[in-house]
Amino acid sequence: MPDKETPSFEGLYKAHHLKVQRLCRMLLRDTAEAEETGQEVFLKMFKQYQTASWPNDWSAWLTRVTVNACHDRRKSAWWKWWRSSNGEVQFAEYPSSARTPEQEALGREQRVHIWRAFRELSGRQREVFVLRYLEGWSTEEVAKSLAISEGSVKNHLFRAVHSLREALKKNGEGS
Amino acid sequence: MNPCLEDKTLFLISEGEVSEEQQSHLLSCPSCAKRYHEMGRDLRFITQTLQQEPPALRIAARAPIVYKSLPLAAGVLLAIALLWGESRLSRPHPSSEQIANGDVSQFLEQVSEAIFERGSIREVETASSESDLASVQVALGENCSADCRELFINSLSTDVKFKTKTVEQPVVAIRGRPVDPAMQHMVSDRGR
Repeated sequence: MPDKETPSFEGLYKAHHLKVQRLCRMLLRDTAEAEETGQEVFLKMFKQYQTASWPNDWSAWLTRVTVNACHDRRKSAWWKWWRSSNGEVQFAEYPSSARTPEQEALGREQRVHIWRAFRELSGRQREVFVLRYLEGWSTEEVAKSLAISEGSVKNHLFRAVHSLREALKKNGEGS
Repeated sequence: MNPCLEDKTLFLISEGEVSEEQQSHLLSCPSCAKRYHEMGRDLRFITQTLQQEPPALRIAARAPIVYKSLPLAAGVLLAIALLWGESRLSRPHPSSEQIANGDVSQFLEQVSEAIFERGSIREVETASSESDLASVQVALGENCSADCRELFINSLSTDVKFKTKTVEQPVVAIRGRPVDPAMQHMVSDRGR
């Protein structure tokens, strides 16, 4: 049970809820579904918080639980996917004042292309990429968390990086 | 000089999987070194981009559910048609002999219907030439001896109740068919 030295549930929620929501949005296609999954993750965190066995690192625990929750959600949401698959995802980014208009236009288009390519990756490739490059986990940690081999992690990573670079190159050639 | 490294090899090198040979090639080959640095630069840019908030998402107008359901409906119909066709094929075919027997029995039934008017089977009994002649003579109003008339009248009175095959029976006794009273009256008048 928590005491005065340990973080409160509200504190943990405030510290991590943005990261969890962001992870869900990256790993799932549907925004509403991402929000639902984020709430599920915090419900699990609340249950875990009430037990005597706390994880050493809440951040890593939340990342792992979030990735698994999104994975489960993707598996069970084939019907929703079929319904939404015909709808093409379109991106529209708002300009930032920190760059020149030319840089802004080029950068905006590149970002849109990268995000589109990222959303077109397979679920596993997105999971591996997020954990390895955005969360900064080692290949070994990713493999352990996703219950796959390190070789498989590297294969998924290479395909993901290759697809994303291709999207970047196409955009560079087109602009 | 070793051939240039593949993209996957360059990626694995960035992941820490590198042999001495690959490392020496990377150091000595400007082309591979350039590709390696480009990959690292792209990866950093991609990671930075994905670490930022995603651009606003918008789902393009979806096709109406009716259009999207068409392939599904077509698939279901095809499955039903295949199942139906399979059940038709698996059903045993009647042999040509069975078909022939069926046709023959149907033909005989039709002939029987046509000959005997009603559906019941009637018995046609053979008659002797004597009673046959008597009947014909009476029917045509020809001169007929007393024995002849008696023979005919006897045949009428016995009619359908008895169908024994004797000489005294009518020429043709059809079971169930009543004797015409007018005919009988005429015969009796003539007999007097």
